[in-house]
Amino acid sequence: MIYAENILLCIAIPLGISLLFAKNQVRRYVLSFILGMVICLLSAYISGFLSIVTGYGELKTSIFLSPIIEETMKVFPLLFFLVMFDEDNTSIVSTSIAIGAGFATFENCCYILNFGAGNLTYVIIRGMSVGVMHIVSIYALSIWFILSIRLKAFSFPNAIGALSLSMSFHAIYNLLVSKPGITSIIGYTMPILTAILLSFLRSRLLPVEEEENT
Amino acid sequence: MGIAGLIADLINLLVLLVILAGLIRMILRGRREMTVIFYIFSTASLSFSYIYWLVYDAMWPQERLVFAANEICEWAHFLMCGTVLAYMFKSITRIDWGEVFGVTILVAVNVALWIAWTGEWLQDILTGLCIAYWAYRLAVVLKESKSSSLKEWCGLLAGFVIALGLQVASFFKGAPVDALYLASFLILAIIVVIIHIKTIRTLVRAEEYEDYRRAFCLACLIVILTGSGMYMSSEPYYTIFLCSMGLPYIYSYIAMRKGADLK
Repeated sequence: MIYAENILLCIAIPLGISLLFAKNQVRRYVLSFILGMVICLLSAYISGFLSIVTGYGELKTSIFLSPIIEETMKVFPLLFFLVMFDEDNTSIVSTSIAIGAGFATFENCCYILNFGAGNLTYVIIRGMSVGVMHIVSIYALSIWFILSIRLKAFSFPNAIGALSLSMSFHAIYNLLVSKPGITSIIGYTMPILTAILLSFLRSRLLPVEEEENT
Repeated sequence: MGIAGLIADLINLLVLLVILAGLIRMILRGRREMTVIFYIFSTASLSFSYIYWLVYDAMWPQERLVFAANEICEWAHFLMCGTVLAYMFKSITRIDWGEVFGVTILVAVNVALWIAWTGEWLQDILTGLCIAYWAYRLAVVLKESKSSSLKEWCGLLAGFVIALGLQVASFFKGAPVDALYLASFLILAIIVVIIHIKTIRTLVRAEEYEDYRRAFCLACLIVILTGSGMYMSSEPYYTIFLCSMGLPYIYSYIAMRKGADLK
């Protein structure tokens, strides 16, 4: 049993105070990071509630329901940011990365406090997999949203489709790592490989808007 | 899942991964078009569906949950294919209420049948909504691009309605279920084969970008009809439709690649 709310307060207070001294992009990044942690806590509440209501239990909830809940929760602040502010691509991408990083950090903190951090190898693997997975899924989503909005192709079905894709990615990861063995090794390497692929493709994807608009 | 279904799934996944690699290669070689990028996301989501299903079946063979993520992957695929079509024909901005009505009726009947068979009402309704969006986009662009004549449209619609009617009839007490399923399968299979031939002919004779765009739309129509056939069939008809699922994606990839060369 851990007190997740207390952990959140403990991490968020210094970050919140640092906002007083930070400016512009840094302030936005830190704020989005805190938001990511809050969303992680809210997702855990919803997952816990659904786990009891559906009777799935902890394992099945984390495999089958959590991807849907977590990705949906993560997309709300990103959508709010996109709809309310007309920002450049870099701001949108850095906000989405901060939300993902905040989410992953808080989830890892809770996990380590719950199960211990004695095994360094596993802790590193977890950081490289879950941590990267949350960032990659929302990063891909932000690229999709940027392209769609800038090219006036943004629509409700389009957004839901992109969200479903990030849910699928998350769900496959959770499924693969749910049992030890070769599948979990594939699962752990999947986020980092996708991150490499996305960072490689980004420079080729985002300039599209300039070409299509000219 | 039987061994035939497993092999069919693996082949389809392989086809999709090859197509995905081809599409990414197009991007890397400078063909940075939005339709290609949207189609990459769409193909990736369907590949995820196959991967999830295969992994799930291997790891949890006895578990059948109400909600599985491979269905979410399929929703993503349907919605993104609709987006590809919307972007491909972005000049069409009007809403055609006749098409909306027709597609809604057909999809609603399909959804009602799925619910009757499986009892999984929530995901069947959500799947139906996603297919309806794609089918509506497709109906509008097929009409706009003059992919089919009025006679062909009527024939297609009549055949599809008869196939649905036969499925509905199988629910009546004392109905010859096997014969009705066979008849329904044959009608749908004939329709799908005809559209396969039409798509290949369009691809072979294509000279302009418009022709490739038309071939892409016809490939989408094959996917929707084959998917409907799969959802409304039991074994062995399900596997037959599943085995042919990779073909329309090959057509659509060829259409997209050659179309991009001409654009």
